[in-house]
Formats: sequence, C-alpha cells, structure tokens
Amino acid sequence: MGAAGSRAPAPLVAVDGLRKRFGATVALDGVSFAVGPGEIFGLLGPNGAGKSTTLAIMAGLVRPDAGDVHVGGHSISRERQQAQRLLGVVPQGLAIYEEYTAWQNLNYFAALRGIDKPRRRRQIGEILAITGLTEVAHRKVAGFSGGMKRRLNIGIGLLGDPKVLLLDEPTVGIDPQSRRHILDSVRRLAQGGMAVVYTTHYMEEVEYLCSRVAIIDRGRIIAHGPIDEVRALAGDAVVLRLPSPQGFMDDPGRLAALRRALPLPVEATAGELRVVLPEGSRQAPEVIGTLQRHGVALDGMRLESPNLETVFLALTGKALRDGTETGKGDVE
Amino acid sequence: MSAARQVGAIAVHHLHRVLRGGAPVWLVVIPLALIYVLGVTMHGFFAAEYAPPEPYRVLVAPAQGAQDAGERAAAVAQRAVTIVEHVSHAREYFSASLAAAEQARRAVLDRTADVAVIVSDEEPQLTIVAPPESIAAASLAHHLRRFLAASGSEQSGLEQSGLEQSGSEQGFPPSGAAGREIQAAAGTAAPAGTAAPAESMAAGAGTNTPWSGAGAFEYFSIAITVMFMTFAAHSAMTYSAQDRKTGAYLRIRSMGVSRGTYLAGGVVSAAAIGTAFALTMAVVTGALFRVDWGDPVAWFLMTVTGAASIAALSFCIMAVLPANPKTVESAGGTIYTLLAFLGGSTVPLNIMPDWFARLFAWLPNRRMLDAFLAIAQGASVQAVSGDLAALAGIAAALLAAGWAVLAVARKEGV
Repeated sequence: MGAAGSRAPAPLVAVDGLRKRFGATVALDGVSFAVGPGEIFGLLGPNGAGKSTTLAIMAGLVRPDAGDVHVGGHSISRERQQAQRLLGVVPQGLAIYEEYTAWQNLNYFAALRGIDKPRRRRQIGEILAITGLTEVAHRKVAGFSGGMKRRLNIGIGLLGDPKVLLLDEPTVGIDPQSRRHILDSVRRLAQGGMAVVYTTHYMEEVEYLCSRVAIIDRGRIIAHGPIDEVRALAGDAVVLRLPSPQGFMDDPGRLAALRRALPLPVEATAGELRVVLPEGSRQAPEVIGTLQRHGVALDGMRLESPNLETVFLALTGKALRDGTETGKGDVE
Repeated sequence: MSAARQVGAIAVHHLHRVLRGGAPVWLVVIPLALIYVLGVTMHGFFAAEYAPPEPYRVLVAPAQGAQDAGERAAAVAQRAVTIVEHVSHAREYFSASLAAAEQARRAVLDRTADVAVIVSDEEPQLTIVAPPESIAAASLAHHLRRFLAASGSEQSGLEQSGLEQSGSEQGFPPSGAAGREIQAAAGTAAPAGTAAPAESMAAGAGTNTPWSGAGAFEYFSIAITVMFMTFAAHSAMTYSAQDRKTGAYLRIRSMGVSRGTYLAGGVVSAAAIGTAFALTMAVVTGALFRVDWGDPVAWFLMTVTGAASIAALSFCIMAVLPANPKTVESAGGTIYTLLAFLGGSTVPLNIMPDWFARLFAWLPNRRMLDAFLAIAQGASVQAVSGDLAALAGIAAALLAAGWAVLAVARKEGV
C-alpha cells in the first residue's frame, strides 16, 4: 500500500512519524498519514489503540516524543497557535456546559477563539442551522437529548471556520436518527472543502463516510489506504457469525476449549460468536463440525462478506468494538 | 485574542457559573444566619460588649511634666478634658473625671479607680493604666480606639493614633499579676491590633489583640465573612476541575488558549468571587448589624490580597488532586472548614487558649481575620501592610507550588 499522502498532493494535515510513550506504555509508535482538502479520513481502532492520543497531538494538546504534525503547513510543535487557528476539535467527551443554552455555549467558545461580536453572531446562527439546533438555541442544554448534545459538541468545533476538523468518536451513545444527522453533516462539511479526521470504532461509520482509512492498534497503523484496498487485505476471508450461542458466553472453560480446537481468530462478545475463515467459505464445513463437537447450537448461523471489521479481526485477532482478545493469539 | 482578554472571558464565565449555581443563596443567607446566631449567643464572651453593673471608674490625667505652664501643657490638658468628655458620654459603661497623673495611678493601685488614662504630648500620647486582666481596660481600649479612629486631624494630632501595649509595669505587685499599660501613639507605624498576634496573646487575654476590642457581631461578621470567602473562591476553582473532567479544558486549549492563561482565568475568577462576596457582606452586615469595617482603602486592599491568597490555595488543592470536580469540591470543603476552626472563624479566639491563637497565627485566613479586625478598629493601610505583604507572599508561594505540581503531571499527559 502506498503512502497515505500520495493521493493528496497538497495535504492540509500531514502526520509524520508520531511516537508517544506514557511511562512504560507505548501509546503511539510511528503513526503517519496525510489528509487533503475535502477528504474524510477514518482512523479506526479499538479503545486504547491510540486514536485519541493521535488526535490530542494533532490538536496541540500533547507533545509527541518524536515526529510532528503539520496543519496547513504549520508545525504543531513549533507554530502551535497558527496551526490551531486552522483546526476545529471535537473531543470524545461532551465538552459543553449543560447549565447554559446552546447559544451561550457557542458564544463563550467563540469569544475564547477570538471571533469578534458581529462575526460571532453570524457564525453561531450558521452553526445552529448546520447542527439542527436553531429551534432550541435558547434552551438549556441540560434538557437536550444525547443526540442534540453531541450535535452541539460538534458545532462548537466548527467555530472559527476551521480548515481541518478533528472528530473523536462523535457519535458515541446516541440514537440512530441523530447519528445519521451527524454523519450527513460531516459529509456536507467535507464537500465544502474541509479536511476531516474521523476516529471511531464503528466500522460502518467509516465505510459510510470515509474515502481513506487507517486501522490503528496498540499505537501502530496496521493498515491504511482507500477503503476498498484495506478491505481487500482480508483476501478471501469470510466471517461465520453465531448469535448468542447458549452456554458459551457464561462458560470461559468451554470457550477456551473451542479456541484450542479451532486454529482461527475467534471473537466472543456479549451478543455473538464470530469466527474468521481466512480461506473463505470452503473452511466452513470443518469449522461447523468443530463447533458441533463442542456443543455449539448453530441456530441463526450466517456467513458474512469481509468488511473492515473482518480485516481488523484477521490482522489483530481482536474485535474493534471492545478489544476482546481472541483465540488467535493462543494458537500462534 | 490577547491572553488578558482570554483570562477575562474565562474568569467571567466561571463567575457566571458560580452565580447560576445558587451561590447568591448559600453565600449570603447562610453566613448571615450564622453571624446572627453566633452574634446573639456568644455576646457574653466579648469584653467590649460587657456592660458592667456599675460604670467603670476612669481617671484621665495629663502626664507629669506636661502640667507645667506653656502651650504644650495647655494642649495636653485640653486633650485630657476632651477624652473625659468623650468617655463620660458612654454613661452606661464609664464614669470619667480629671485627676493628676500620680493620683490617677495611685487610685488604680488602691482600687478606687478601675482605669487611668494618662495623656501626654509625646509618643505615645495615651496610656491606659489598669490591673492585669482588667475587662474595664479592654472595654475602655476598645472605646478609645473607636474614638481615635473617628477623630479628625484637628483633634490634637490623634488622627493616625492607635493603641499599643507597652509591656511595662506600673507599680503593681510582682506576684504574677503584672500591671499593664495600653498606650495610644500618634503617627506610629504599627497601631492598634497590628502587633503579631502571638505577641499580643503573650500579654494576656483581653489585651491588645485584634479581637480583644471587637464586639460579637463585629467579630463574627468578619470571621464568618473570611470563612465563606474561602468557600466562595473554592467554588469557582471547582469549575476549573469540572472543565478538566469533561474535556472542556482540552477544547479550550485546542482553541489556542495556553495552560497559563486558562489557569490564570480560574485564579482570577476565584479571587473575584471572594472579593465580590466580601463586598456584599460588608454592605449587608453594615446595614443589618451596624458593623463598621473601617478604612475602605485598607479594607479593599486586604480583601483583594486575602481573596488572592485563598484563590491560590484552591488552585493548589486542584493541582494536587485528580481532575475530579467532586473530589476537589469535597476536599476544599473539608480543608476550609478545618481552617475556619483553626483560624478563629467558628470559635472566637478570645475563648481559646493562648497557645491555640499563637500556633495558628500564620494561617492565611487567620491573618485575614486579624487584619480585618484591626482595620475595623481603625487601623490604616500602613498598619496592615505587614499582613498584606504576608498574604501576597503566601499567594505567590501557593501559585508556584500548584504550577510545579501541574508541570510534573504534564509530563505524563496533558
């Protein structure tokens, strides 16, 4: 796979060889990518993979041990203020004041950003329209739904007309309707020429939004490039999915025995059991036989085409959503 | 946007949040209720408010040597008459008359007078002679302080006078009951109540400590105000901790606000809310309890410096603790409640043992209490300059300590 920046001749953001260590923990180990204008770049990985640390360094909040980030040509290490002027940051947490109205929240952050009053009024109006909060602009945020709060959280990141928007898991814990509204808004922003870096562990969001993606695990980018190319890394692999096989979720002993018997990535979550078949469906009969011998009921079983989650599972042996270790490590 | 404007925006924002958080109720109603209850119930513990069954017998005398002929002697005699008239005005407490100096001293020794006031034209100008532990002397000292503070420049140069303890004995038996003198000095640099509290206490209860001349409502208005200034300032700092918890801090930082600017905004807001609270209390207690807070300039400087020292302490607490607003809030509440007790805000210092008052005299809230009491009793800016310098030093040291703690933490993250 080629360098991420090769498709964007004049990237707005260039991340180059970031390394960061917190005590004995290596948070980032040589992370590099670039994002051009109008592009939505997905940073995909499980919790603790290094996504938020990458974004924190890009936003100028954490100093890297090595490497640098350039935003619009300005080094975040040496020209932080110039770089930050081009950035809009949407943190993972709800960085808003619930005792204030939406308008008051936007006004406060706009003042800190140094936007003068006439421009501030115009921008706040625009952002309220983009986020669909115009009608409730003067209501206290405490009374907002989770989705409305998330939209306001994003809206604040749009203050100051940033050229680059950093979104850190912006759709966590919200209803599907609000999620769709947010995703569509992000698309529209990119269509206006904004470069967007979007971190999530929801692969379906990345597939919906992003033209290019990087998969990060334990501080390292294990795959990146256009989505189709990354997806192709799964090769012929398919995923065998079994919804909530009885007994397995409550019995670690039975799951361990199955993992020993199946030399394949196996992921168990609260909802289902997933087995990656790297050589495709031709491996299915053998796997099904093994499952039956271990007493797994096959009701609701289905085979699924490879997607980004399959790639991640195949490459790391872990689930994207919760980082559950699988049997792959046990057998290798 | 300039850093100063960012500091202002952050400070105003925190202030706004404190005010919206119900502070006007808990920061006014509760302290006033406490002042009222304590003022009423602790009334009997304050010498200045003790009404004797019979008025104290006071003899006012020109000093020996000043009785000679000449303009100076005439001025001293006139001053003595003025003091007699003034003291006699409070008929409920004092009955005053003129006497010769030696006669007045002898009368105190013979217990035919409770207190003698010796007037001279040299510094110190007034000397109170009384037996040890004399409540009459404490009461008279309080009364005279008020008189001196209220005197204009035309009144024989008493405008800047205050009371100091001489520590000398005046012929009282050496059986451990040393006599004492309280003197009024014109134009001295360290007037009423500004001696180090430890020294004041060493001279015995009811002597020239800042609290010895205060009434119950005056004492508790000041003490409870100091106590709640700490709570008010800390409430603003708690919002800084909340920002660190929610991610608002990171968002603000990502908008080009430096760490120092953000923290300065928090400290300024804490100091501002402390000052605003003190101003409110000064006005309200003045109206409700007739508390005179003294020289407005000295009061203002002490309020701002004291609030800054408290804000710095809150900053330090926030820096040391994890970025959890509930932890910061509860830790601050515990620390400031303890400081209020040790610093004489909840239990008056005149009923605590000497060692207690001496041991905790260095606490910032205690410094504020002493200085506010002294100002209320007539001390000028110059008189409390030592306290102002000490509090400014404490504020600087605590800010530096908090900053150092955060710098260490920064190495591990943001």
